[in-house]
Amino acid sequence: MTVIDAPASTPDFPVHWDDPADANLTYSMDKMHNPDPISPLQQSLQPSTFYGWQKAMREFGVPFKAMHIRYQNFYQYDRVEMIEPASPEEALSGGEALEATMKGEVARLADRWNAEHLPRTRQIIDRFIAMEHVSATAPLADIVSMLGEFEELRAELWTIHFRTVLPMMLAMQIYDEFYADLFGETEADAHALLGGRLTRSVAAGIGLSDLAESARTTGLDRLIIDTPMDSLIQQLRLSEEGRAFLDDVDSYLDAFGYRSDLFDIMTPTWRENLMIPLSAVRSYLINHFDTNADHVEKARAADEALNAARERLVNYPEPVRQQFEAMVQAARTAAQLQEDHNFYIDQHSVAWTRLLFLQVGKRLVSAEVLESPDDIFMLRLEEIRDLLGSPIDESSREQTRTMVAERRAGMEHAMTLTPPPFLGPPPQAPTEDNLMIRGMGSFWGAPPRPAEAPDQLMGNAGSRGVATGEAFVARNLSEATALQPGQILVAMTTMPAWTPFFGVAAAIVTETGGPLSHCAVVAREYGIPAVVGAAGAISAIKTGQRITVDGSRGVVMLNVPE
Amino acid sequence: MGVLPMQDDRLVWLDGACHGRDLVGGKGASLSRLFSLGAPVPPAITFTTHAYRDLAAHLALASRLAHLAAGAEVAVRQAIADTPLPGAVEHTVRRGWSVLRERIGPEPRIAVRSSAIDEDGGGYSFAGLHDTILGVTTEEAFVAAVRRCWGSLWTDRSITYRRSSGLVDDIAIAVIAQQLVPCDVSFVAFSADPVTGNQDHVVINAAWGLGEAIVSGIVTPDNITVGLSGAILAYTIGDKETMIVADESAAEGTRHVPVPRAMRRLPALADAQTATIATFTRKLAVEFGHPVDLEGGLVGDRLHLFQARPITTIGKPVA
Repeated sequence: MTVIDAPASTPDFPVHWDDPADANLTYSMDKMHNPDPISPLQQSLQPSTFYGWQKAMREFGVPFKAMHIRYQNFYQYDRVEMIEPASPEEALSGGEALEATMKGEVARLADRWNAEHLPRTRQIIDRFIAMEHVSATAPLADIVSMLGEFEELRAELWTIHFRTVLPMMLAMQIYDEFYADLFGETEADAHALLGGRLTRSVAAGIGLSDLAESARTTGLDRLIIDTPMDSLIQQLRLSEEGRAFLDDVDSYLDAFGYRSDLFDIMTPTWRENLMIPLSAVRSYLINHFDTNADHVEKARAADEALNAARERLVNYPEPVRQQFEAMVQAARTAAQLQEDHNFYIDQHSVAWTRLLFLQVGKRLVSAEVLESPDDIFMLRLEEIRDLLGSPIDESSREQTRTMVAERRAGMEHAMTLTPPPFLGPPPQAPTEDNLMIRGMGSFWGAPPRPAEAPDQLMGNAGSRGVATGEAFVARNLSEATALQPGQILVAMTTMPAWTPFFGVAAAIVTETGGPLSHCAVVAREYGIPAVVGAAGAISAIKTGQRITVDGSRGVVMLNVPE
Repeated sequence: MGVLPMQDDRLVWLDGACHGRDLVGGKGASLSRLFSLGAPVPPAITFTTHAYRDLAAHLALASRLAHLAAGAEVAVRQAIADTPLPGAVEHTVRRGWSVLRERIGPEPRIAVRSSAIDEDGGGYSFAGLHDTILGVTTEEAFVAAVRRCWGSLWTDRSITYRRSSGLVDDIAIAVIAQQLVPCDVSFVAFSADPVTGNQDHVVINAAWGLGEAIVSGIVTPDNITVGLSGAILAYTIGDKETMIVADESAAEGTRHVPVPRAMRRLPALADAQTATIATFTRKLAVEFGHPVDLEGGLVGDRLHLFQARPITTIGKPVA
């Protein structure tokens, strides 16, 4: 986050605090995960997300006290409160104990994921799917208790999420530090040893490549490339090959379609809107991008890099070499889980939450309470429970309709606002130095240093290398589908659903994140330069503008001449 | 061991027979004695004091020394390093290399060390004054290393030390060439507390990699005190920031490398390893009949001994 002055309330972004004490506290916006306004339904579900975060933290012994969430103009701001140590000695010994605990968790992460986290995740998602089916016909009153169960399961699911991602992040941090200590600043990138994991994202990409290949063999490639996206599906339906292709797309989406852009339950999933997977197929056809061949090559290169590192360590003490091996394995697990946890937990949770509530929305449309199923997102969970549980009369219909209209208008207006990155006093950099703090710092990114020259935009080094090209600014994944091969993708943030487009881009710039953010890790996998945490990138850069991305130094040069 | 035929008295195996300090220097005599006790010492040969005296005679060092003026030492060192060796001496040195290869293998890694007569004797500790060259892997490097050790008698520091201790310059030196074992952990162990003199305590300093890191003081090692019963009375972890590893491509045959921060404050020794070292150290002190300090290392759990000397600051005999 940029450290700039943020006045408490402006005409453009009015700020109201229910508790006046809040005005003197720092509340920050997480633009990496939630850059957009958050619907009332999602707001009412966030406590179960943060419950999971708190529970996992406490299990690990992080001195976490409370998480405070506020909404201003539908944008989410939070404040983490930690337990203050009684003395510097206590802070130090607490940090050491936490580090020892986390190192143990890092070592057993793969086992816990396979034996505990993934199986339980699947069970919970299966339950969500069953709830969605049942909601189509169950009595409205039964749906109320189901929603109670839904909330509990959601809290458990997010606990599993944070039990996974905290050791995952630290595994990368530990590995990066070990590698840097051993090999210093060399050309060999620590993450070169980690590439080529067969993640769900890669599998999703391979599926898209396979669809592109089948389109090529059945002669549909020209049609897909040349037809405007909004009439492509109609065109495909006109021929037998086209219909068969759409069936294949359907099967693909059964496996990989329960995902959307970020974490917004209002965004249609790929399952519901074929535009994004079809755009990716089109991109692969134009670019001849073969995900499988690319993956195989990356795995080979990673093993080659690992063997080169082993060679360099051949005379080192055995304990050091053993530690290195253990750390590489843990980091490889982390690289795998970086994508996979998001696939199984985040994406499926968001998708099925959306689908479940759309189903409830349909029921409320039938009960003539809502005009459209997606009006449900404008209602808070407790309001939905009230509507389902009590007899519906004209007054509650009227009330609901007004509320939905007001909130929709409010959200539409909120979309036009530029929310400040924080409210209240500027965030302070942490004073302690321990593994957890360093890991968090690598994930969230440090505030960039000031520009050294005009036309320079500063960020964090995310993935090494330099690339020059035409910028393509995308405010969401849907916009990103128009990315042309060789262009430089500029976005607020990227998440695994964006991964299919990494193979097409020449470089990436994001406003959020540090060297261990999703964007940086995946850019390194793809071997493309990336600058992350470049605050202001979206406003400073225009689509078509020629820019140079220096991922090694974390600098973007604007207005680069031909 | 040691039954390879030697055509002259300029070159001996240190195991197989017990050699005295007049022949093999103080360090060599210690090693010889360790071999005879059956200690796990890596194979070693010695170029005896005869070899040095032959060289000294050839270079007419005696007459040069008679006219030793300031700066003359440099000329002496130069002479030892550069003047073509007398044929017999060169032949001996090269034969030393070849018998080591026969014994150890085609790609030996050798440590070459000086062993002066007065050194490691009861009276004087010449620790650190005479040369040590680690990681010698080629014949030419070996010859150069041996010559350097001969020349180390004539560094300013060596001369100063001898003169201030009242020792003469008509001195001879032996050179030991020993298999270099690339240890995971190296240690220096004292059979009595070197500070308090308490003979019930074994004190161990341990660090990652080769022992030169401890001996040369570039690392803060772990410090362990073991009681008479074998109990670990204290384990103070040192900030082991650096280690020395073998590196064939480096001039000295070794390289200083940083220890990853995750391992700096890990204990270098497991309890079982500490016990092994302590037991061994006490045994050796009893065998020697006086307090000793050892330099050794571990490869896995296997203990290797490199040197043993009397602790010069503690005089009491050991029961």
